Amino acid sequence: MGTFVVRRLLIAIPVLFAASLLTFFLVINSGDPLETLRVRPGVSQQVIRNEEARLGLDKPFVERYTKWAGSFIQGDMGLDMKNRPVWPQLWSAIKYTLRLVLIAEMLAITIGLMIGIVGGVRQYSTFDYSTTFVSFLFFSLPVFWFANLLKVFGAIRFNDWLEQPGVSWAFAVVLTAVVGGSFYLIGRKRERLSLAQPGAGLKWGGIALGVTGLVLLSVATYVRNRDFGRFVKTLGSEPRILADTFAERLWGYIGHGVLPVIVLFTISYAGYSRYMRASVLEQLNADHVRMARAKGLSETRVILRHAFRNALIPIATIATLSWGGLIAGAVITERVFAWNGMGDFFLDSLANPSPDPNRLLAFVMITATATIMFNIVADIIYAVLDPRIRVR
Amino acid sequence: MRQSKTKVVLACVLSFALIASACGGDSDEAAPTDDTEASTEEGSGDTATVIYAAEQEYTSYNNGAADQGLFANTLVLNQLLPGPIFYNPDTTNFVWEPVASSVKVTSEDPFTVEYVLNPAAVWSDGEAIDCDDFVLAWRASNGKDGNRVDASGTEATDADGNALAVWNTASTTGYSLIDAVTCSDDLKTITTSYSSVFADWRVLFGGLLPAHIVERESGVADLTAELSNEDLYKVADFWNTGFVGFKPETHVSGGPYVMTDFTPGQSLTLERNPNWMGEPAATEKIVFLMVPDATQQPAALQNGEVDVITPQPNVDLVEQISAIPGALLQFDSGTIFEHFDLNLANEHLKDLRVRQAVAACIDREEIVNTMYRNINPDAQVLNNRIFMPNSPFYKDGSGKFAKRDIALAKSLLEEAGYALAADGYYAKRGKTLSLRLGRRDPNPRRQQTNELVIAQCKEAGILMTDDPAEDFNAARLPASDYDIALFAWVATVALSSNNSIYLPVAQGGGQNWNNWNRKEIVDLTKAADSELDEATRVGLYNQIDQLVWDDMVTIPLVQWTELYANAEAISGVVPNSFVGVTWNAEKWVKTAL
Repeated sequence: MGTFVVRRLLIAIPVLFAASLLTFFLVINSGDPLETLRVRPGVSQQVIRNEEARLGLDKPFVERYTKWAGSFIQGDMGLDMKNRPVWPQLWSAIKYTLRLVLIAEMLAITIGLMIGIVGGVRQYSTFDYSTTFVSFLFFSLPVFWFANLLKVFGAIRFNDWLEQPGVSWAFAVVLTAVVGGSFYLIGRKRERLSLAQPGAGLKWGGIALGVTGLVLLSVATYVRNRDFGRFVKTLGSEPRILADTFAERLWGYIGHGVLPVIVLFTISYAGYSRYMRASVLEQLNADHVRMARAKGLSETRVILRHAFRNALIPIATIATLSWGGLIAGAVITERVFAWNGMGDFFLDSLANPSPDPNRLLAFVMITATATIMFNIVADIIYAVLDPRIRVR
Repeated sequence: MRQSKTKVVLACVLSFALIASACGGDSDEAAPTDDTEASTEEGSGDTATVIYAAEQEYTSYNNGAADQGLFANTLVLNQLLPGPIFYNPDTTNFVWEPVASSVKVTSEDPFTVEYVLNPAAVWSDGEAIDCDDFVLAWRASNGKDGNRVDASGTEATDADGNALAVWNTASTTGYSLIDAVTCSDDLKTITTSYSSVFADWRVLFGGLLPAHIVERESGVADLTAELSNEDLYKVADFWNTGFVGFKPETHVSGGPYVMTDFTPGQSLTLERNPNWMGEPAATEKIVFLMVPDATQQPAALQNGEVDVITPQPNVDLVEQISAIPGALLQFDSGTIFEHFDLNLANEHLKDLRVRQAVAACIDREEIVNTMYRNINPDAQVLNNRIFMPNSPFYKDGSGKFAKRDIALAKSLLEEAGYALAADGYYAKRGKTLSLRLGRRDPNPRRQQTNELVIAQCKEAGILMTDDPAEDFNAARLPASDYDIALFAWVATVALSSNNSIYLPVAQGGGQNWNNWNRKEIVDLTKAADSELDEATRVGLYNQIDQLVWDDMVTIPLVQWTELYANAEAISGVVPNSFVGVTWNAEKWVKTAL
């Protein structure tokens, strides 16, 4: 194990070197950092030459790269083009990104796995078909479009509704019909009734109607008696003015985080549920599961002990690998919701107003290191979980 | 079974009744608002805070440093840094009473300006705003300190062998002409004497930095005194780097607001300056909320998260904002204007008649109509390069080139010896009249402009081709490597900053890339910049503009439209293209609706 880690870490060095070299080459050959200064009236050539010297624009590529690499190895990420130190900015971006993606990813894994298991165990059932449909729908959503729709309906319209609550008759009727209808169908199935008895199952429909009514009534009463102050936000990662009590703070953070979390959750949930479903199906058809059933174990025990555990092995790898990528941030989501994380940091560094070498290099090095590290971790986890694999 | 069915039907009826009562929504009884715990944060209810959506981040207090100057900083500093003179959006100016009580030219030869400050004028930490601050501004920007020298008197260099400037100042215009800044009357009267008349003297000493902070942080007791090199470098070091970012103890304010919080990437907060000597700001707090993606600003405005937005306009954005109930939309034709530059080194364009033919074939009205009026219905063709139409000094010098005239273009070309060839284009001595239209790439607006011009001039028999380049503005413009160039200039209140564009290169025309040489411009700029009477001076600059028309070196096109939108709860938002919307933020009022 030790030699394995050391060898992998050694391989990482040339990878990081190549990544930084390529990025550096691309960055310093795009854009002119002094463009605005050059067209500003009254700025002398001397000033422009000084700025060129400060940014090293007059130096050849190799010299600039060696200078950057030298200080980076000593742990100094340098200053950006506006003379601000890079590391505090990057560190703050990492924290914001982690806050966002950790929550979204936790939710996606939990819910994705649960739905994947049920879908695998009850293959080709109504549940399986509907979750498969939803997964593919989520897979194919364009993030930008989805995020903007969420802003309109999940924030603006929803907040309007919170201010002036009320439900239209059409909505109430549709909601009741949908809820009542599905409970009716489920009830029929539960009692194993055939189509010849159309009246049966009404009890379930009635219960559903009652529940819907109660819920709507209590929600409406609650909403009407409370001032939410346009609770769901379309922008920003935290409340600007922090309230005093914990509950109010939490409320503020939720208001800012709910929409981006929904977007990120939707994207990665679909993947996890599909992977899990496939993995469970594979296990259910495996010999050891057949053996467990033959021994007369209960179905719950078969699924949880024998199928589920083994099905998790490939998921552990996939999840670990995707964690590495998540450090790089969710560029589009962060941009749309003005969430000051890594994705936003990256975009800002690209046009700041021209590509900023120190910022971009710091970004690339951190994300590349994270990816490499999580790769190693994924391999180790795989070996730990699956006794057939040995790392060497 | 039968029994239970009746029960079920009853249950259904009951539950419908329940739902119905839940739905009785839109009643007009007001929601009780006794518990307000959830609304204490931001949001529409809070009238003490106005939130402005900032597209770019504030970086530094010192906008005069070459590496720190940004419009995003100007937007913040408008409310923080004091100055004796302030400009209105229409380019007129006034003495900023809370800071200065009088500003006047006391002598024309030698040219001397005297500033008398309000005796009560203080920074937010209680220190007086006085002559020291003027001396600091002058020292940092007069360019007289040059490069650094080490102890032995040889020029100091950094690790790479580059010379090090003492002050990293972007521009020394005006300050370099000041010989001395003298303090008197308990440091509240400042006398500046110039080596020659500088007619734009009013633009100097705006945005003063706190000298007492520089003294304290650099450990130099008095920066108005004669300084040893060592002390001078300490002062300059702090000036060069010390104002980056925000520290409450160094970033003191001499304006209506004071900065109290800056969270990079998130927001910046200004609060009323308790020591402000003028009328207190109308709103307690102004928050600059970072919204880097302008397309997301309308949704935030609609959701009450921001109150004032100034995104770069486009058709979609304007439609989106117009659809927001209660949003107020204002357009302003700003100070940035598009124009064509004709390079006189070109074999065709060296002939005035060809240049005039180009001006006659371009239908500027159509360009403005198709590309600008769909956003701002009031957009107009621009006919002056120095004064914008919102200025009282604007004068249209276009003459017979005000409107497109194909016949005129053709007759001018024929007069110049060109003949229409079989391919439909004019040619002279076998050479087709073919011109490249240079522009920066990518830039969809300029690309579309060029496409229109190419089609328009084709009708007049002039062959034009689009000539996009990524480094067009950075490399090809300064190298005069173009036939016709489409780019933008910024009109400023400092009229003399136009000189470098129109003067012959040898006489200081650093930005005259058209190879245009008119001796009259030298005399006119000289006369204008030593002329203290505003009306006469404006007349001289309009003469310069007329000369450019006569020689048809550049063709002004249109000003960039600026967009200002705010929630209806906010009043007092007035467009200002020079220093940005926050110029009068101290007058913004938010009322509860």
